[in-house]
Amino acid sequence: MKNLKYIAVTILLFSILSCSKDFLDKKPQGELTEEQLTSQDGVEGLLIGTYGLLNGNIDGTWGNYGAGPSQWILGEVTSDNAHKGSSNGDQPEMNALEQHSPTSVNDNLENMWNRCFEGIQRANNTLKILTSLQAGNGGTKFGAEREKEIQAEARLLRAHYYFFLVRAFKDVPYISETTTTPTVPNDKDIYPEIQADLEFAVANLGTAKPKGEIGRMDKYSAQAYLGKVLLYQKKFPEAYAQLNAVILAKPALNTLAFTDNFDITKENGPESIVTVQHSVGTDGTGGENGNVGDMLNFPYGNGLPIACCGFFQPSVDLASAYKVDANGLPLLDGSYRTNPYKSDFGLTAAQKAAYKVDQTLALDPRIDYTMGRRGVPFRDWGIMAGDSWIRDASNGGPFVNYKNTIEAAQIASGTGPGNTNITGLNVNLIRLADVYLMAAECAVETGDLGRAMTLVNAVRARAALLPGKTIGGAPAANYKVGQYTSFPNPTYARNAVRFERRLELAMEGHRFYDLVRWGIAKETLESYFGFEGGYFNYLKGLTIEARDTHFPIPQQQIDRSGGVLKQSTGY
Amino acid sequence: MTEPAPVQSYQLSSTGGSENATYAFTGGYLNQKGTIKNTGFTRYNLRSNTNIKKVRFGENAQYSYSEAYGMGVNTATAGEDQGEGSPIGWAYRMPTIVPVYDIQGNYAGSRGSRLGNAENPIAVLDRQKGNLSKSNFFFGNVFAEADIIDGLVARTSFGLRYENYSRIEMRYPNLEFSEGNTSNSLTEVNGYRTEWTWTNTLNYNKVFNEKHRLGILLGTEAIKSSSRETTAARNDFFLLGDPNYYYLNNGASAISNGSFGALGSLFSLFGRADYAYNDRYLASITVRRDGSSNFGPENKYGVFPAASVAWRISEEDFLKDVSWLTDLKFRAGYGETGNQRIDANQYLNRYRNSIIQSGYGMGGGNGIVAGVWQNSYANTGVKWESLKSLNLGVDFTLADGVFDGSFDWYNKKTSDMLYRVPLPATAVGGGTSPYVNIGDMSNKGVELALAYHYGRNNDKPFKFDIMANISRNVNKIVKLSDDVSEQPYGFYRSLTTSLLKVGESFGSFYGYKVAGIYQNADDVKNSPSYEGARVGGFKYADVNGDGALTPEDRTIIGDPNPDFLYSLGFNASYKNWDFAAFFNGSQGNDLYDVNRYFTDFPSFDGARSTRLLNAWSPSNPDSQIPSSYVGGSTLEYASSSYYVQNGSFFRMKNLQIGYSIPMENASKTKTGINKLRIYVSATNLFTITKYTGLDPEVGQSFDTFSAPGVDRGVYPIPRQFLIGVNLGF
Repeated sequence: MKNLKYIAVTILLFSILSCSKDFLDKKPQGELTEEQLTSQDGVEGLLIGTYGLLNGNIDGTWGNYGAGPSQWILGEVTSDNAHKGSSNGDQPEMNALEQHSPTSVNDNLENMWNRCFEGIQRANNTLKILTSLQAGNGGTKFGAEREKEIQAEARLLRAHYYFFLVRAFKDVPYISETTTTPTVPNDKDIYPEIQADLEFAVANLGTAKPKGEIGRMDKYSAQAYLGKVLLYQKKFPEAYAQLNAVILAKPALNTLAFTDNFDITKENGPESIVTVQHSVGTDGTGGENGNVGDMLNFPYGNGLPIACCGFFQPSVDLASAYKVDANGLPLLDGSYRTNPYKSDFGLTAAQKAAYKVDQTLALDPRIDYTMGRRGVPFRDWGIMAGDSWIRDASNGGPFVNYKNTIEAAQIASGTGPGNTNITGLNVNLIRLADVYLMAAECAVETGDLGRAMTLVNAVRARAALLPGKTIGGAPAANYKVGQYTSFPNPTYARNAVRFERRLELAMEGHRFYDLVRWGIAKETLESYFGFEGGYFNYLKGLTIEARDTHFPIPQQQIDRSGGVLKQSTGY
Repeated sequence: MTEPAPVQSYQLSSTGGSENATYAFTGGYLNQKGTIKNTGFTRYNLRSNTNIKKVRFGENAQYSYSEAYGMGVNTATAGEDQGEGSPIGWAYRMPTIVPVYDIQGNYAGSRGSRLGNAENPIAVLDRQKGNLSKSNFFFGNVFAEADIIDGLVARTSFGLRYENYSRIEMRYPNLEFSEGNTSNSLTEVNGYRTEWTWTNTLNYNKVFNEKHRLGILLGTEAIKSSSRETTAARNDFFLLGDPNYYYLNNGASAISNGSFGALGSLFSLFGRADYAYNDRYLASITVRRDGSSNFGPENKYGVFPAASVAWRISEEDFLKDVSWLTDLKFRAGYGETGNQRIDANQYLNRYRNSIIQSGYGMGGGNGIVAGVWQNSYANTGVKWESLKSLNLGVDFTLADGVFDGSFDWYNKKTSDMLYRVPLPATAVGGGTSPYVNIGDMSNKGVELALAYHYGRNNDKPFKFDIMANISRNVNKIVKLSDDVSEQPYGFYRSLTTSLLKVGESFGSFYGYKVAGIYQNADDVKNSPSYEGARVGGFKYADVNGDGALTPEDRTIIGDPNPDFLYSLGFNASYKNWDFAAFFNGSQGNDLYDVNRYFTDFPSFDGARSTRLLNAWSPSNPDSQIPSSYVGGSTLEYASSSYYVQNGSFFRMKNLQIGYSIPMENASKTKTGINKLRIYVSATNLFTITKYTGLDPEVGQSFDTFSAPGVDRGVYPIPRQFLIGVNLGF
């Protein structure tokens, strides 16, 4: 009996002690380890994840405005094209951006910085795990062709995220798949790295979409992006070559409808060169993969098909820029600001009640596909009714944004479950008309004014095909888009190309960055503040300083970097 | 929004036994309505203990069932954060011109020009009154013992905790809300948490020569814990808010579901030796080796020794005759303990394959393909945090127990503090930073407790006791690891409230120091300023003296740690009456009232504090409150000393008066009742404080780690009045 006790206790003790090693080894729950991921499926998954950040979102929906691919805050609200809109007290950090007085704790800037670096992490992880797989550390290796193609896709996406960063913040640390420290100094020009990634993508992507999937980047995406990045560096001949290659390979612009770029049923057509896919599945994802960046940018008012939240309103200056002369040409000399088009803005209640839209105005039809204005049909939503579609017209103006909205008829299939303000409408980072106009810039700067005019006229010829909006069968305006007959000198040509770029691509996230790279941000914006400030007090008398070509690096990131990251000069 | 709320509580217990076995059973019922409308809590509990002596076998078990309903059922605990998206948050953010109901009797709300984005708190509380959470909790333990040789006892014990819980939450259309939604939804949550502990010990106890008492204990302990939770939701139910209809399969759209879980284990070996000589000299040594599944292969184990000695000097011959000295004991102890309470698998890079976080519409259209992203980043070297503490103390009892008290001095050093240092986005993107052993912290302090007892010794009809406690703790960060110079943390909207810095207290408040208000244009021009500085706005201190106000001028603006804490208790009884009162207080701590972000600044449209009636203006130049201006720089509401206030308070925690009805003669035989006491009590009767927030007793807010003293809108401690009856049979 006594022995039995000893034996029992001894067995107990040994069994306890011997199992302890395995007992303390617990696998992650619902997560993958690097080992489990080193396979073809793992690498392909990481690559999909790298694409997955193009919409600027990880999860949830609210708050991803700064990183939104439309760049509506950092590229448009900061320019002469648009106001933040809504009411003054809503999202005050955006007011600071519109007025070029952001501080380093601006949440939109943090969002932009953090999301882009998440995209870069994903690209780097794809490259890292791919290298490890190909070195024999996992399952079956990729064939050489797909290996190169994956590298090309990942590096193109990495170049995109870095380009977004360098445009917005200027001084950006460059983290690659071989970086081992948490961060590196942000004291170098990173354009060479961006360019190298894009050159690799041009060399290793085919003209057909990888794996036959329409959402992926192909050679044309790479060429167009490389052209754009070269243009930003003022390497005009090199950029020209890349952009021309794309133009040659694509159908003529006048065979492609302008409206297809902003139509959920026509997206991914030949004009989509570098495109962010937005998808709102019925799979319970709640719109996380939809266009969350623009979710605030719909008219605001009861009874509207989509009624959130009244942000991103076109300026009076932009509306007026669509006025044309007797030949249907834009008023390049700035005289469009004489007798500006301001809809019913500033009228008394009685005058507003009696307001009728002036259908005799000579206008470029693109105005009514860029903004909603009172009295004119807005998609299939009905006639834009003025103030009842606007959250606070005295703050945001009389116009509403058009391009990121969708047809009411498409809401059931084209918006997130329970969130009609999150749509599946894609955002084109680069579309064919943009390539034409970038090539036109290269032509001007390399002295080929004739070709510049041809390209601008091609864009205008296509715009002329736009069906004008009608009110009771009658045109809502005297729509007219004329052709240029000559570009007499480079200054005129430059001005015409830049003006066309504004008219064609307004509200698509280019304008502020364009003004900066043209070196005319200060004069253009101060003149705009003088004009627009006549209607909106908060713009009155604002000035642009040297530092306002870019935005401050988020203080939180500087705080976390242990002194490695430095705030850019001027902030 | 708030209302007086009744509480009912009943406890019934029964104990008994014989020479061979003892038992105890307890049953209880608690029904507590919330002081916030449409919230409440119910709990039933059962408890049993049995000890069968002869066969050295026993069990104890406890079961409770609880139910809570209404908005925020899981956070409606006094002292806990409510935040901006809660009824309390909305109540202070909702513009005061918005009524509760509109003229048609529907809920009114913020849909309207410049009314901000607060939701009608009464509407939310009403709509969420059907939200219900339920929990079943079981705790049980069985043990067996056996004698091996004389004095040596082997014991094995197995304990289990198991909780399963479920929750339903409903959402209604809320069109009166500026950011409202037309859909209705149901979310259903089910989950469990369980933990078992298996302890095996060998215990040897022996007294030699009547004076040497020796005890040796060797043991092992294994703990395994796991949890799992499932969440599912749908939108668009045909009937609105009828719990009889609210089953998930009736929802027509937005079908979603998910689950997650955790798994962890601990394994320890330990040994202890106790020695006492003649009850006069006492010594004890412990060594334990703890292993945790939370650490990587090289760092799984930590070894933690401890030792203590005590000298009961009053037993010495030279003091035996001192009549006023009843008992006097000196103690000294040194010990190390480990902390491994971090999220699992921090030593591994971890990835997720997700349709939400890393999915993409690869084929165009609405189809989404799942992709992979790295959600957590590794720190391969993460290891045990340890706490080394040295404690010297004295306990004394004087004059046969009329006075007693104790005094302690301690010096604690936390080494390799486990901290989730937020890494820059260049290192972790949008993923989670790992815990690191960030540095060392020291806590030094003294505690003094004194009590006076009157009338106890000779059982006088009038008795009373006075008890006082006072403690002081000095906290300091001693060291941060090499790559961290100082660590701002505590992120709330655009505020960063707190700081870790060598030489400073843990969680010191961090921000700009308000130097005044810019009085005029010359003042703005001639003082250090920032972009958008304006007359009537904050002027901050130019801490680094470079003539400009930049983030480099942020400094420490407050300390959440008190100079001292104290409490005071008073008991008295006279014949059948008894009386008790308890007070506590904190002196010299600062609180950071984050709610001012909403109420005092144009961060969002919404209600403003009446403080602003006294804002700066040319005719009120002495005010330290900036004039209201929506166009001001965002730096005006950056983290600054404006948010920081003295958080000292003195509170009457509890007051109780009772009367015991004499039962000796009359009714005992008839009713079986041998004890009957009726009492009334009140808690939280008054608080003396200058703090302007809801309640000075602020819990710690957790985002990645605790930011003490940061008030994000606490659920205030209610004032409670209680009537009770104790019955004994």
